[in-house]
Amino acid sequence: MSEALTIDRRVRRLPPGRVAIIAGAAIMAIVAAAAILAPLVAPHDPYAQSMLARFRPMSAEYWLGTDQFGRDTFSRILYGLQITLWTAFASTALAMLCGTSIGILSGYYGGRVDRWLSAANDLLMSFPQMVAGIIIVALLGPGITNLIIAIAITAFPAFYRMARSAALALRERDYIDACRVLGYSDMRIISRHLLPETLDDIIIVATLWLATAVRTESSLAFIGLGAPPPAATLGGLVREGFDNLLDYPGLAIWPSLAILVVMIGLNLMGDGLRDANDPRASA
Amino acid sequence: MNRTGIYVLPLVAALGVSTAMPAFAQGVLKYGMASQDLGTMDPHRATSTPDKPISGWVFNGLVRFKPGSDDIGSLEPDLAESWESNDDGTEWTFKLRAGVTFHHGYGEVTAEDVVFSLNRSADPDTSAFSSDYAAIDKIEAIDPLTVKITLKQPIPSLLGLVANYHGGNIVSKKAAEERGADFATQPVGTGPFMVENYVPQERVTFVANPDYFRGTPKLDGIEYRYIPSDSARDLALRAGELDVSYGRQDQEWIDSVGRTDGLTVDIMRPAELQQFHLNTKSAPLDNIEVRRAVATALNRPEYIQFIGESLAQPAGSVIPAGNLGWDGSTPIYGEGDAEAARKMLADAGFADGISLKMVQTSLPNMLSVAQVAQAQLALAGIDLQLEVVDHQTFHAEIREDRSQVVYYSAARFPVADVFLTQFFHSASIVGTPTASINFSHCDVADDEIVRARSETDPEVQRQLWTSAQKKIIEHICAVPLYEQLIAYARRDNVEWGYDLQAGMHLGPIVTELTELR
Repeated sequence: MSEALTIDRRVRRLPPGRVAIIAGAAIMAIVAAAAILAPLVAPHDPYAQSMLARFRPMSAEYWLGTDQFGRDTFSRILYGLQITLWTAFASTALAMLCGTSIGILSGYYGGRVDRWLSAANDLLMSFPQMVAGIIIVALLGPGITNLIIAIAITAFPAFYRMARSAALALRERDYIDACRVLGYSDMRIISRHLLPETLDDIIIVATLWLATAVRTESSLAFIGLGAPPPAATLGGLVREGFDNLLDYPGLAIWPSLAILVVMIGLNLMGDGLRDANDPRASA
Repeated sequence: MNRTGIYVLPLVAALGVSTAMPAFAQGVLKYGMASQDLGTMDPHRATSTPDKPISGWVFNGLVRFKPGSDDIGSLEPDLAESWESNDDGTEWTFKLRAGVTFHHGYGEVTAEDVVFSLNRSADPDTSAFSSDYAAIDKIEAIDPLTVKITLKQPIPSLLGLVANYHGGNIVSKKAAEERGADFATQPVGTGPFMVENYVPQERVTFVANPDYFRGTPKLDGIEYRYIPSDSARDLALRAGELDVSYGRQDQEWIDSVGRTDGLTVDIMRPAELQQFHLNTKSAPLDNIEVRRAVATALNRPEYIQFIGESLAQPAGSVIPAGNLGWDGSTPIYGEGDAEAARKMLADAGFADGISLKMVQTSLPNMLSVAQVAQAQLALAGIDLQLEVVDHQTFHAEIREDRSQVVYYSAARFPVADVFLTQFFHSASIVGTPTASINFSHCDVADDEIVRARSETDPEVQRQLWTSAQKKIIEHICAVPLYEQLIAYARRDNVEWGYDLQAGMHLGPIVTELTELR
């Protein structure tokens, strides 16, 4: 009976989650397509300067106008999406890979190493994300690779903690004991039984962290710690636009809107996935 | 009952005034600068644009540029009342003004302070301008108000070394010795304004020097605020939070501010020479054909288009056009011929292009010029990798020889010798004990630079300087891009108190006559 009740509730609660997932996925599909196809779609070379075409208004030739170097703003936003999304995906994937594997191992084996790792992880988590990002980029130096590493480090604790707590709970389950009794190797238990169980949760966390990674990248680029010029990144475009904010506000507003769209898309997807997967959310 | 009020009221008023003073007093000039922070207020070390204006408010020289002028003919008495030299110009005697006192109770200015200051400027450990003083043999205090300077050989302009500019600023001996490294944030001079307080990354506040020897300043003080973002400074100026603001150095900004009621743009000399220094000892730039390719790929006319003709003018040599001894007869590369540059690189064995490392300041004006160059060079297959750092770090790193290409914008005392010595004499090469700012490791014109320094026949001296410039240009130690005037904006109620045509401190000098109407 209680089973039926739960199912009934789930059915009633599913549509909002599903709408969010579909809307988010649609937004992200368009954005990602625009980013990937930028070399084909962009009307101009995003790096080509023209002293004769500085600060052009919106027109058929320059859809969103040009910046102080005469570069096409629309093309730069498309290429900016490319770098920003790539940075976000790569850093989240890196954090997911490292955080999940170390977290599962740490939780499964326990002991002194687990305590040390958890303490270190808590320490890392206690830093506000931007502060940690700033420190790491300052140490490593600017550049896209270093930016990816920095964002990955700031995202690492979330995955570590999630994977570790899942492993801690699962290792006490009877079927895991049964696996041990059957003489399965630890690697087999972890990869065949623990990992699949945690994967759903990890993917949801990853989606939400993608949005955070986009925000971190944009924030770091905005304060000048992003990819060095002439690279177009969304945060960098906003920063460049700020120099002419009073006279040509579009230069800062258009890339800001692009960031907003990406954030909305990723958050819709992440929240939708979480709601759909979390029975407590519908209780 | 009323009596309590009588006692309390002044107290409240006094408290209110003392806390509100810096923000609300009518007589405090709020001056916005494009920088994150102070570098130093030590005038013998202040080399960056944001640090220099301060020297002009806090310090005096033995002589000074007439306020608003950069003409060496305008030099007038400052701390010295009068001076004379022997016939060959190797012995100079200065008579000091009596009764001039240093700030904060550091006593009267004596010949000892002048001797100490000039020796300090000549010492590479305490001065960024020591190479300027190489010709000085000795500096003596003859009596408390007389200073005698003896030179090893005559030099083009001794007055330039004792003017209110760079190493010529006179500091208090007692204060400099007492305060040591803290002198950089607590300097003691004789000028119309004294440093009151420094809040890192925020502001320096100055109060009027009531004992200033030219008279008590009309202003109560100056608040020098660090606001790196151009837009934030503009907003603050328009909102009345600033009275004077360092401009964004381009035509768009000048036009935009010019259209605004209540605001005035001041455009002033000196024209700073904007130059790319190429490290001639670092591969692949050690190959002159590669340097030629870089110079050929740079498109010099585009910078003038980019900055706008109100501010930018063509550069004709490796020293600024206003300098005594300037010569613009040697042709300079830089017409932006990417194809020719590619071919030069291929001929030199770099058919796949080259990549060059450049440490670059995040100061928007300079960063955008570097980005224009980056795009021009990219067309020729030259990858200019910008490492963007804050302005103080930039100044430190380029002096440690960490940048293959250095973009430097500079004006100096307007005699060829100073610029040539600091940027192109081998003794000034960065990373050496006598280092100044020779970023290119250029050493091809040492002989001419040194001989011109002590040459007494003006015509021969001019020829030597011409020859030095020709050699430096042909060796491509540096590529002069353009020259740029300086733009500031002020609210209309700011009266400088003099005719502002130029400011050797790269900002309007604030004098005892400056006021807010």
